[in-house]
Amino acid sequence: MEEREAKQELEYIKKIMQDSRKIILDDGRGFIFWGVLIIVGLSVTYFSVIYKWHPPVLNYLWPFLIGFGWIYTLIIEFNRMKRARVKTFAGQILGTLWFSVGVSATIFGFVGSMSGAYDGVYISAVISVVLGIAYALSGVLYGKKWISLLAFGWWIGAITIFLWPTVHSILIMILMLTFFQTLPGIIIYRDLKKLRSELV
Amino acid sequence: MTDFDYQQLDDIIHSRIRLAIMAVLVSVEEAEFTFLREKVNATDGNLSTHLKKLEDAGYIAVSKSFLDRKPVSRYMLTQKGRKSFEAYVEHLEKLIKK
Repeated sequence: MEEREAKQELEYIKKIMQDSRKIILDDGRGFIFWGVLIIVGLSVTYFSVIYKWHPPVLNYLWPFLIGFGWIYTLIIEFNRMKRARVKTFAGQILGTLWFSVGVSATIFGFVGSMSGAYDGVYISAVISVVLGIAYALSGVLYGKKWISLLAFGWWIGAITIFLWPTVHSILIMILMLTFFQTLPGIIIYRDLKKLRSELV
Repeated sequence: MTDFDYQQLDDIIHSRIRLAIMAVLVSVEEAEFTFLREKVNATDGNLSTHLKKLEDAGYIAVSKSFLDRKPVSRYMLTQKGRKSFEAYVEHLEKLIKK
């Protein structure tokens, strides 16, 4: 084998490895789903506080939304894992990371506030800190720096809510969920769909 | 030609399709037959032959199951396969550096 052939062979290996790694990532639908779900919940909560509208059914709003979110996610994820044509280490880390974040956010949202450990107004701030960590790591796994940079948006939002806790903090969380979660989810979904159609 | 010993190149891996299969499996933990077929651009028969050769050499392992009553074969690299692939790439790099 000559040097030129060896170079071509290495290039070939490199290209196949890069292409295979690109296709393994999550397609961002989870970001969109959870983003929209929580925005709906927060919007209802915000208006119920502003307009002092508290029908008893609202007590079930969050248990219903979060319960629905978990059931939907587990069904979708189980199905996706069963049908996945490839399994990767990075994909497993990403899945475990977001599962852990979901469990942590659920504990902070329900158990933390119900136990009286902190006022409900701080829930968004605490969850934002955790989301910041998840986005910082996800960016590395996706190989996209801009996803990691979203972490700073979440952390700045968390600091703002911690320092100025009012009912309007909910609006900050809605904005963060829109611009740091749902929109990035749409971008990831669009990009990966395009990439998959090019690679397959 | 350099004084690099090309005989050291692993004959099992030194084939375009088998090299592609190994490269895919190094990048992912586990891959289905259909995924490999798309990635290496081979026919079912051709791919099966090459996969069998890699399996016989102990470079890859296969797990077979059923999904919706259809057989599914999943392939993964063995420890021996990973080491052989790394050695193969190392040889190529040495050849370039010589």
